[in-house]
Amino acid sequence: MTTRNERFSRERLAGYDPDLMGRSVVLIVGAGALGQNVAQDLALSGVGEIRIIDKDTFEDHNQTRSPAYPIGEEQAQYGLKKARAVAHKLRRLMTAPQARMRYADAWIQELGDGAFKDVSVVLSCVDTQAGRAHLADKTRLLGLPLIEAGFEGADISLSVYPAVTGEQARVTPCWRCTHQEAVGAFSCQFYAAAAERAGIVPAIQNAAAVLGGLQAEAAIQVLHLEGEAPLQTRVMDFNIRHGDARVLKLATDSLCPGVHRAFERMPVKLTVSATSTVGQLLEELSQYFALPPMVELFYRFVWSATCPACDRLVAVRQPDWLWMMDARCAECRGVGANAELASTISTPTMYSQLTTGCNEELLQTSCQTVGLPPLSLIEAIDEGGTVKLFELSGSLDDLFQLEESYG
Amino acid sequence: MDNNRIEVHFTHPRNAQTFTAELDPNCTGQVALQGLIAGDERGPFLEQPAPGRPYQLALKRNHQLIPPNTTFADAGVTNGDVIEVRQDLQGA
Repeated sequence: MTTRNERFSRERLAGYDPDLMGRSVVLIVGAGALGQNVAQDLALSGVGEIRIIDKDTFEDHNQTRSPAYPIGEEQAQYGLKKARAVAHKLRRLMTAPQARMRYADAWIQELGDGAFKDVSVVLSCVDTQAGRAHLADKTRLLGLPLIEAGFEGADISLSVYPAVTGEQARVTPCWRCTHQEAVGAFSCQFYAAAAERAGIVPAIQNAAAVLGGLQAEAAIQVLHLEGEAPLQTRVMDFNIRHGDARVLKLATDSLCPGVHRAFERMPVKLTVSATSTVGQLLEELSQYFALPPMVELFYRFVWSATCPACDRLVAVRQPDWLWMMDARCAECRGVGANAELASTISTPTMYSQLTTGCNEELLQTSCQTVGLPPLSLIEAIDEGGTVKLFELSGSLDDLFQLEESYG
Repeated sequence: MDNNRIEVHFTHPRNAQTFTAELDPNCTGQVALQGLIAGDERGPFLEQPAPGRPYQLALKRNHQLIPPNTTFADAGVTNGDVIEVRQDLQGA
């Protein structure tokens, strides 16, 4: 019989604390080549809970760099959705005594703040600039460490952004300090998304495996050493063929468009949920303020916009990140990406704030629809400048599926 | 050379080429990159970056990135310094 001490004896000698690892929750965003390799390493290393998020579906070419590619009957049983298939295949590798694997077939933006609840460290394994920017902003706001990575061919890159609060949140470099073209304006976001859809990035398993190992080890070091972790506020470049390596210090940009602050207060738990209406949300919030409160949305809510393909005004009713993924009316979709969006969508009707003064139809719209899923953190401010933080009701089970096949 | 200007040497992200330029120390990283893409009479030093693969500058002497809106003076760049151009990686 294998005892726990025997199982982790080598890891202890290497400086790992299995108890700490077992208590840790890692959020892996992206279940492609990198996400699978890093998830595999962390599962074996004894992390207690792994959450995997990906909206994508496996394609045949993924198989050459996908340790968790579903084969044979698995495809029939679990399908080809990456998050589910990867969670199923890697759950059996988890060595923590009470291991838990959660997964979500979703965009990270779709899950809101709840995806990060109780998370110890976030690993960015996404290949979209919008996704990377989202993770940079959310981790900074929530005071979480972020391990960011990317690769192309034999070149790999890894950077570590520490968990910071207070003044440190303002002055510590974030991913967006050096990636300012990524998001922010409609045009930029669309441009990047369209390019990413069209782009083909060279990818090999050996690079994904090396980078996955580096990213997993960086996460483990962050778990153990917090603010003293090696490579924090550093970016490391490495070529796996030539061995060329370089470590650079990240720097803060004074005009960074990203989030450079962290929530400083514990949220008040609300009774309203994601299925409640905006009006119901505002009504409950008003109980905590002397003056009418206003909610600032993390992503603007697009009420109506001009379809760039046919120039007709269309009812959108989506957060801007979602609309911009395929910003065309229902009739025009399926024709192919429209790169002219940025110049033609000049007067969309969008809401960046929710108040009782919003139109009646919006007040009757659900919180989920406007971009507030379960467990969303809501920062509300009243006219007198009083700011309070709230949490929408819900549970992780509203956001993730629990992989129980090998539990 | 104008006393107010500094001479710096940029290295290419993927080959051994260098580009020497005289710059105002108040030039920002972003403006310098635009200049490298525009190039000189010999042509551009850098091609237009693919979306999601921005260029970044790093001062070789102290291994520190120079953010887009930071001036060379604020980044500590002095006459004769070597500036490495790196390009970010997109895939995952």
